[in-house]
Amino acid sequence: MKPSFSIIFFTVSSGYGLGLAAVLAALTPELPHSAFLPTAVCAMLLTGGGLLSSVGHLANPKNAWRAVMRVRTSWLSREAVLAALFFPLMAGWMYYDGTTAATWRVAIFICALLTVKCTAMIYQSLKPITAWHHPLTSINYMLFSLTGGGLLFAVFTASNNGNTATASLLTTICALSAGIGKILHYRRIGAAQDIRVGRATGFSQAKARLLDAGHTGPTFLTREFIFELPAARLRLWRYVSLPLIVLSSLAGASFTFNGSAWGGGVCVILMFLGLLMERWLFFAEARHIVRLYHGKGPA
Amino acid sequence: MRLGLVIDLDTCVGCQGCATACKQWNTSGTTGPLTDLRPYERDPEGVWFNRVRSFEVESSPETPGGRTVHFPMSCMHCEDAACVTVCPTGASYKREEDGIVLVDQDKCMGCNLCAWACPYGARELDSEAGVMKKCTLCVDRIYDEALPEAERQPACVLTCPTHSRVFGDFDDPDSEVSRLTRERNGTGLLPELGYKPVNQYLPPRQPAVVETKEAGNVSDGGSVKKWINKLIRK
Ligand code: SF4
Ligand code: SF4
Repeated sequence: MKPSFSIIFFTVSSGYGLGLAAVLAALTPELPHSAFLPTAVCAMLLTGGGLLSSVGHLANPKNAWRAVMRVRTSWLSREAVLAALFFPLMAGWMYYDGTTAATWRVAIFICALLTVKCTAMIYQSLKPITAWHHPLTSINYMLFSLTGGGLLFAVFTASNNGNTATASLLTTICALSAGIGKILHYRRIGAAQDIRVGRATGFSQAKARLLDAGHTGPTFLTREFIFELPAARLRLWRYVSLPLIVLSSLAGASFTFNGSAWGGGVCVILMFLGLLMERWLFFAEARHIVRLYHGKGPA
Repeated sequence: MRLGLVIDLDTCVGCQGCATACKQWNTSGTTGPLTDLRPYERDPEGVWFNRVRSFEVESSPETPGGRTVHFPMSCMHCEDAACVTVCPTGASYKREEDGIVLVDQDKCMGCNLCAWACPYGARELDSEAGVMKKCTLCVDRIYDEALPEAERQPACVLTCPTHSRVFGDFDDPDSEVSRLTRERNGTGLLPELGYKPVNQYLPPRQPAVVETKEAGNVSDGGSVKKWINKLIRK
């Protein structure tokens, strides 16, 4: 699949914002009260920035408001509705000054995590893209979101001399599980993407190969679905992005554990970069079945 | 009703007639114009609803000698159309009455998600209009009472010089499409995805094995031929 920067930025930025909101809701009492407003505002800015960026992907943004119309079937619609719900919820919570009452916290925790889940399900639900069509997709999205949110939360806590123990521990656990989840994802997709040209055309008896695509230039389909890079290059991205994410979040957790907000902050940025690379790879590696009709893929 | 097409892979010659007729009709149809980018330059590009690809199948016990198969693909009007399920705006819809899958151009926001969900490459974004476009099964022809009844068929079907495309109702067991599918073991593409494509493909027939005999020593009047040839050359 062709990676599109607006979608990559959207999933990473909103993932951070929503993860931060979820951790904030879960660990409200751990955060010094003075840091509540900046943390909440940061969560909303990251989420909102991501959503704005996602609009950049639309060919007809004036109809974007209609995206909430099909909640019953469409994951994108569900995501849009939950995201729309997230902002008034947060605003209400801020108005009541970060009350530790369970109702607000539970509502925001669920809303934030469900929104991330819906984002992931947009991809996971697509059967023609076998790399994505697996529960690991949403597990990865949620774990990365919680890792980023946990680390950011720890940074805010550390900068206000709060007790960062829980947040740093949470970040460590999430970072390690996210790393394992992603390795499982990488192990899986190699085998999962092996659909043959013959199967796609129904000629499974013998090898089939494309003779003529029926067009001489690129088309919408080739631009959107055929994105081929040498396997070695893709592997390099894996080796750079995943260690960068996991190591920077682990380092960040240990910085914040020792009360260093600065160290944690630098690690947040490094992790953000790592996640942008990882999301790029998420798209670049995924192969859509349509490519088989263009002669790409095993015969 | 479950309207759709039967496509005969045995007789299709890959002439691109259906694709061209489709483009011609639909560019002034309900979802037209179908944008063309750089039409007079070296790398023209545009929206098509129907694309014909050709494949070479290697020799095997079931396909002795191998074969070339021309493969027209347009929207399959799937019974379980994921393009409709994923669409967040409700722009993509499947008509209750006849199963035709359409895009409401006024509602689409151009997110491409439906194209991602379609395994058959049946949807193409019109980058100029900013909306998704796809085969309408010529909904504006097949119900047009101003047309003579014989012409109330999709443009691709009408134009096909080898009659490789047949249009009809798969819910009617006596329709030609149902009969052909039954008799020639028609199949939908990628059944494992569970989209239940309505369009069916008829596999190429097995060529009849022709008995051949050794010619042996047959006289062909060689000397007469040589003599005539010599005469002509002079
Ligand atoms: S062929 Fe593609 S566009 Fe047509 S109904 Fe099926 S999934 Fe939708
Ligand atoms: S591109 Fe248009 S028709 Fe397709 S899913 Fe998006 S809004 Fe729906």
